[in-house]
Amino acid sequence: MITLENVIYSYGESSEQIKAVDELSLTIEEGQHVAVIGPNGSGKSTLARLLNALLIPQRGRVLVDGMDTRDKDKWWNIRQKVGMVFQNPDNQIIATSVEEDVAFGPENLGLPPGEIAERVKEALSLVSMEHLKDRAPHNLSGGQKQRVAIAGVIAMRPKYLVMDEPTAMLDPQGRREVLAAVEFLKKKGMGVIFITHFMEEAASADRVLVMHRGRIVLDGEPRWVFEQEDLLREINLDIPPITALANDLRREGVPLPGSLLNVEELVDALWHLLN
Amino acid sequence: MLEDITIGQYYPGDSIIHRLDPRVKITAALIYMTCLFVVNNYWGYLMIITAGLAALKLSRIPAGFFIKGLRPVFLLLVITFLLNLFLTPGTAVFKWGFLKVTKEGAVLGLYMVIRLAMLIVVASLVSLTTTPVNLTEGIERLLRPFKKFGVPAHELAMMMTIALRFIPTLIDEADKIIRAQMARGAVFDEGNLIKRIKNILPVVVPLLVGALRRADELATAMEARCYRGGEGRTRLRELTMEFRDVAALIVSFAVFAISLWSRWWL
Amino acid sequence: MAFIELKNVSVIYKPGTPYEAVALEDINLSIDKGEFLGIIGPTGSGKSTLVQLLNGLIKPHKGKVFVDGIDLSGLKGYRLREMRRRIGLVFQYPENQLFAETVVEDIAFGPRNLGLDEDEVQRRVIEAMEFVGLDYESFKDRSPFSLSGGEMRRTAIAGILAMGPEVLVLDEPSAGMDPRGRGEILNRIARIHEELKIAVVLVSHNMEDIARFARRVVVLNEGRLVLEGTPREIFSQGDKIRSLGLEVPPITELVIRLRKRGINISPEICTVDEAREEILKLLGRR
Repeated sequence: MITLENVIYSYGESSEQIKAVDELSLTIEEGQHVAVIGPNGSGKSTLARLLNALLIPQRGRVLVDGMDTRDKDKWWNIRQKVGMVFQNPDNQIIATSVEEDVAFGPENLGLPPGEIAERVKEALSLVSMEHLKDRAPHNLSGGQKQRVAIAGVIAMRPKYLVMDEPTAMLDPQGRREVLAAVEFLKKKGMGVIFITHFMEEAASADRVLVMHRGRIVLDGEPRWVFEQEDLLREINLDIPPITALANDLRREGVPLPGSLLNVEELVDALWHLLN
Repeated sequence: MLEDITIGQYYPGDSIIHRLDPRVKITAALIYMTCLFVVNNYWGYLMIITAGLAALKLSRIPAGFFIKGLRPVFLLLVITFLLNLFLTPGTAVFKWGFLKVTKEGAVLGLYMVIRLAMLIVVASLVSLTTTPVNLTEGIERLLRPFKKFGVPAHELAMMMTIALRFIPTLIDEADKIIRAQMARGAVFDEGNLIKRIKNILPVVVPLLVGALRRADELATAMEARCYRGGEGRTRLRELTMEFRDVAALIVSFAVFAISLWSRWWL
Repeated sequence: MAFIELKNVSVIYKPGTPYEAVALEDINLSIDKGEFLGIIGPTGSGKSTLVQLLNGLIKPHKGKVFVDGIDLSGLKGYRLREMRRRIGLVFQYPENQLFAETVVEDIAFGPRNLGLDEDEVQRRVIEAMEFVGLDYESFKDRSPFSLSGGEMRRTAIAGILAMGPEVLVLDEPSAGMDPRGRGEILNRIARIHEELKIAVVLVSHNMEDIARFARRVVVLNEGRLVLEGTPREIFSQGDKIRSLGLEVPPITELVIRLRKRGINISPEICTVDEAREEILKLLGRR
């Protein structure tokens, strides 16, 4: 369980401080899949970095399985438990081959070579990258690089996987690859905290948090959150076209069931109405 | 020009040279380079060139690769030869104005060119036959005993790894920035030196800014993956010495002994 | 002859080396003055090579590129630079090329390279900033590196716009931006297209953007031009588009699936508003 209690974090000089995270309280259960959406500058990335002690709250506290991130001695335990994948696939690959990069985390944990090799193999197969294990990172596509980054994190066997806009810099093909890898990890029981500005990518989460100006303004199941169209538009979030169409039709009095999230569901509903 | 540099490139293969322990390869290369400066006569040079060429042959890398690696230093080799040719005192064989070519100069010039060329060829051989991972690992392990004298072995190796990892990325980026500025009408190949230096700023500044941003993000990513320096760190692959490694070391020391012998007793 | 003409153009990368690869093969394409052309295709299909052909940054190995009747292969020095002014090319992630101390200095770089006098340079900078939505007074003295991602990108686009191009070519102008930033950039581009009457060539992975803004679309795959038509014509061939690894706009996807289930809805619908009206009609509510 990760708990945030009245956390405040701000950047800049004290005279013109911007509160990136403002009096935020939140509990994330083990194995829960949480999507965090919000426009740029809403505090999503700051929240992510607070979860694994890359940033330390200026007020309030963050507890990861009971460990306080303000306690320096716990940092390495916390970072092993809370793995983190960043936005730019190029700037998080350290080594000169795929396999060596995935080994980087386990090496830092001081594991014996046999165990490292085993974990590297397992992590690469979880993201379907075993066949490219000897490649140099700069010869990979964006989607492949990002999957290497994911493997590098899961080789540390974290309990929580925080992903900070991992698809923002990818083309559609790369995005599909990364999302497929994430879905697979979720099925394996990994708790994923997925930060994104694409509403569509939040649809498969257990829980969606909407952030605006350092605070959580919506917190609930995707269906419910996507129905709050006025509020979402007010904070400049794009409603996915399918949801927008379903909401529009419902407003015109078409008896569509609850909020509809994907094309399949809307096609089914319309087909029943039209037949 | 940039793609001609063979030091820092890896040529995949499984020759005996490829399979040698990187520590042995680096040590042998250093011994060889010392030999180049020990030998001082015809027989010594003949022996050292033969030994060097034998190592190249064993690596099964096309000779063209090594010649290509010499291309960036070609001018340096020519200058070295000419300086020795004209500036060495001795029996003149040819005179033109104040320039005087001596027999000693010709021989010394040739020796110097051989030294420099073999130095670069052998350094390229090490990097062409060793993966970047093994190369840095080898350097780190070799430097480890010097740690108590303040040599930051792990940090140097990590810096090298990151440099090798990001050089291709930065070359790509430089290419993109050059094209983007050309699309804005920038000119890089006109004007005098000062103008050219000024013209390159629109490339250098964004490249530097980008590199700093990358460095910052990379540091965060490394911290997030529990990096805290070399202390308590293990490796995926530990280096182990095989019979062939011992044999290679013995051969290297033998070459060294012959070099010494050729200098003082031949 | 159209304003830009590509005739049987082929481009090969690193010819004569083991890395030799065909980037573009036998491309024939014309672009008219004032049109809005969309270019789509999977990564590695040759889109970036194609846009660099248009202003002479890449030279074809076979075939010819003509701009306003002039063959680009013969151009050098000043005349080539003049061509790069006429065809303004905005690269992907253009904020990575910013270098000057202030926003104004950066935008002025292009116009100054053209040898314009300082009054004209300033006039163009002010006009370009207005078009990309950067307030001159509040931004002129700021460092480009202190701006937000969206502002940096708009500064970079202004740098091209200030050169006074007759065609504006943009390679993924909204890549990596949040929906709000994306909408803002594209609306600005649409306004530039309408008010300055300049042609726009938009390369994008975002099919919704292509459907909304482009009047004509070409599809590239493995270096070849495989489809050409209006966005509606292109996207109504959903299966073909998907077989190339591309996506269709979500609404088009809905329409395709409804049609597959035997519902008679027009295949050329690609926006939410059109879909709503059409479905309400089918339900007998309109």
